[in-house]
Amino acid sequence: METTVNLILGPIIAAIVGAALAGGAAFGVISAETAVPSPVDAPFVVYGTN
Amino acid sequence: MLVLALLYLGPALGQGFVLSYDMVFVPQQSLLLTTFGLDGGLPRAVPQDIVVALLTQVVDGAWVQKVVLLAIPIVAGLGVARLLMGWGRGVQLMGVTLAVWNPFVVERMVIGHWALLLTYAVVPWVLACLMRLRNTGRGAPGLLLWCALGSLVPTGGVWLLMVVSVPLLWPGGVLTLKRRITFMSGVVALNLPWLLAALAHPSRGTTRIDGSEAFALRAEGTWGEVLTALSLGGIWNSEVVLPSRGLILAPIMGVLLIGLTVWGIRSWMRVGERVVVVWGVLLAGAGAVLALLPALLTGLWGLLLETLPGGGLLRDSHKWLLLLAMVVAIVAPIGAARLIRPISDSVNRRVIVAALVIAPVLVLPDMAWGASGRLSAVEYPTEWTNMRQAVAEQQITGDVIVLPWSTFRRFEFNANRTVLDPAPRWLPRASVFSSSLAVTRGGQTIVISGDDPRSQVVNETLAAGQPLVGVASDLGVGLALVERNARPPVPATALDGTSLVWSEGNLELYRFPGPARAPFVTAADRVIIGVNIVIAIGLVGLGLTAAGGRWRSRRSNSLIDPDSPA
Repeated sequence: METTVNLILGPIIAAIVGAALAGGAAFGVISAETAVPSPVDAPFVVYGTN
Repeated sequence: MLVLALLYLGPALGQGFVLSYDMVFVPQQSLLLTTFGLDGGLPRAVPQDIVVALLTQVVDGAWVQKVVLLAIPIVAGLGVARLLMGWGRGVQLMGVTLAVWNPFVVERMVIGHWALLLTYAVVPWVLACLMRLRNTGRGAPGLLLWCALGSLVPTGGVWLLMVVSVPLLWPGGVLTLKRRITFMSGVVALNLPWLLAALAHPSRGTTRIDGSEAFALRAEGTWGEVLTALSLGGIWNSEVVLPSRGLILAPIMGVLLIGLTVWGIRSWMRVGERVVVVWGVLLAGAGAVLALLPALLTGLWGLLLETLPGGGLLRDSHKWLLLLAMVVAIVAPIGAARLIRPISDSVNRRVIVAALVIAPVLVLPDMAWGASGRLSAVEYPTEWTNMRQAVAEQQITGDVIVLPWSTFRRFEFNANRTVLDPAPRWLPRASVFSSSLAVTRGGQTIVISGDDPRSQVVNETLAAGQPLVGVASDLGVGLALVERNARPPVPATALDGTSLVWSEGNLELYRFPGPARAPFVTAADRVIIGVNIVIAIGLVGLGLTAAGGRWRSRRSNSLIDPDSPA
């Protein structure tokens, strides 16, 4: 029973996650490129922005 | 679980080091006085730095980092799966996905708080040990070892102290009072490395009021701080927040999961040890309130941080969502199971379970592949390795001033990502470096002063346009390391009177003329180092005992002790 469930669930999950990731990449939400922070005008590197 | 971990980490597991904000690893880190949190700033990375320094004496720091990065999702996932044993495969899968894939984990990882994430990862194991200890009186070595792994930074240690305190000390169960106090003392002792160093520090851990506002939990959308916190996000730094957190799905998912968690608490209480469960849930709720306090009551929060010794620990309030994130991962799947139980059609039930298993990934898809490339491994240029050698070969005594005078860097080799200056960890000697934190808030830059007295002297000298040679000897400094191309430019007068002794690429090493004050180790320093050694020996002994017990259990074909991390 467990094996049957896993054989069904596994491909379904993989397909949905894969499609979501592909869709995200198509719309630019996900990118494999390294994220580059926007330039900061301060003379020193700031820790971050709140 | 491994697939999820690999999908999440992706390029972070490549060759080299992930350098992201506070996460800095180097091939070999030296064991120095400052590593113990002595003779410098507040002990924020104690005993984390001691452990990393010891490990990198035998294993390259890149491998240590890889193991840490992989261990966090795997330990967290396995811990939740174990706690949910008996609830069915689907519920376990839901728990694993929630534990591995959530905003708390990714925001904390991008800002580099890996040791705090280890605390997060050990929480289900600690809860399991506490349940076993109260029910059977067994599992104490496992509890102490998991707590040791999760107490590498002060906030993690405090979290675990709170988690274990009531279940250990509350009457009931099979433990005698003497044993309760003994185990509690053991967990307290694990925090002595940073606690003693903090008490020995002149600032006693208080922070400026600016810091409390700058590091307050922030809303990640128009829905405000409360919904942001309930959906487990809200880190102060908007630069580490993933774009998907701004979508309306984020708070909807948060509310759904909190609802399932509330729905599942009663069921969890029925199967888990009641004191452990109730306390865990109460503490998670209290953590959420604490996380929201600076956003809702800013004035009171600032006053609290400024006056309370150790108040600096509370400053970054998003950290206080740690237990809520883990409790949601454990209990929301139980709530979901309770909710779908009346559905008679097994296919429908499976579809719902499958949807809930993948929902965390779908709502936060940009966490994949190293948080969309933010966690990517890079190689240090060879000049950094040679610099370490060059400093080691210098005959002059004294520490090293690191310039430019700025806490963070953006290196080209690191794709211009913000990272804490790695030089202090590369250097084989103690160093004096800028520890002030510049944070942009409301279009203005707030600079929160560091807490190392020697840094403050250097700061004032540079601000006055004076050469460092005038203060170097008194500060016990013999060398200056300059990272050219880093911001801000080193003032022309700063190095007057020094001589260039080594340079390669963007790194230069200067020598000050006068003899530097020798490092001064006080009696208190010796006591603190001694305490660290005693704790380390104790933990090794405990680990060997637990491993030995496990081995004997296996030999006698008895049940495997699941509470031991060995």
